Amino acid sequence: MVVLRITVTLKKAVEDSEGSSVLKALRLLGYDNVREVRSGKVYFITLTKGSKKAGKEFCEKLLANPVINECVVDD
Amino acid sequence: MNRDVKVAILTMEGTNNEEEAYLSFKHSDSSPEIVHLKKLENGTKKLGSYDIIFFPGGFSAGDYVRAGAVMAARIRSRLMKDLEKFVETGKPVMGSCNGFQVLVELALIPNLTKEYELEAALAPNMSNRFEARTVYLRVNRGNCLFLRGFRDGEIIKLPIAHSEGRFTPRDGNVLRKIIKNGMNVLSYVDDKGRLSGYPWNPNGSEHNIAGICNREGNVLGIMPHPERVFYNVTESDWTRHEWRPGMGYPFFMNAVQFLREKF
Repeated sequence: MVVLRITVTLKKAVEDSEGSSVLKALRLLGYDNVREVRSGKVYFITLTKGSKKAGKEFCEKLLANPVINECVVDD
Repeated sequence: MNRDVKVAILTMEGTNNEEEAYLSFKHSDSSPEIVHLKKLENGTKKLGSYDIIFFPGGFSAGDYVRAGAVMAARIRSRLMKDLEKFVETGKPVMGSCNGFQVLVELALIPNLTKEYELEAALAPNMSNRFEARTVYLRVNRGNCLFLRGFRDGEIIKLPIAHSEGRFTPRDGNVLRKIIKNGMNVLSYVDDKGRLSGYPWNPNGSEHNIAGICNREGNVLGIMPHPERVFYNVTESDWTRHEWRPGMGYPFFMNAVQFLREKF
């Protein structure tokens, strides 16, 4: 079994409105030291066989739109 | 007797507005059919046997991954050649809201290079909220067949309801080409018809883009919902103006009339 961890985030250049909302909420809770929040999604995908290469394909074919997303595959 | 115009309204788990689209086409003198994606995948139905394809709004596959991404991936894996062929014949294809998201994920919009490469995305709204209300839109109809009944510069009102509608081009070059070619056929404006920021632009779209037509004018993707205001009486302010067809009416009638004229 291979478990891939695939993290999809918005590219730095793309405004992350969810991250901005979380940043604002944390500051309202009194955490003045929070400078930036970036949001994203993490997928844990279990394969019977395969490698990180399969994860890259998952990114290209479904999980990320390269116009706005970055997709990182870890195993 | 008028030629029968067959319309496929594509659905899958999570789409909605099929009924509104169905009735809009039915009352535009065509023969619509709500077609589940599975029937196209298993060959029970063929895209080529229809004259118009409509991608409805909603939350296909629960909007998981990204809005429209799962529906687009399913189409790309089994039906893309048929869909490309359909588009290349010049027959009308339209997507509203989630349908627009699917068209962008399929790279049918804007498709500047005609190579079906991803040139844009519909990112989460800048407000990080689900925006649901009526918006003002300025028409720049160009050669878009769906907008033939409108005047250039005309201001119309249509409802929106989405959380991922921020049109984001891949780069400045893509945006420049869209504008240069007049493909930005609908823009969010204020009540005076000026390009303005939030809340007039509900999602933070680049250049206030609300709708894009491909260069050939036969594929339209828009965030607003014309199918929800096919009838005057479903407009939010219908009691305040004289009777007339709904603002969404021309989108459907134009597609059907175009089809009869050209095919």
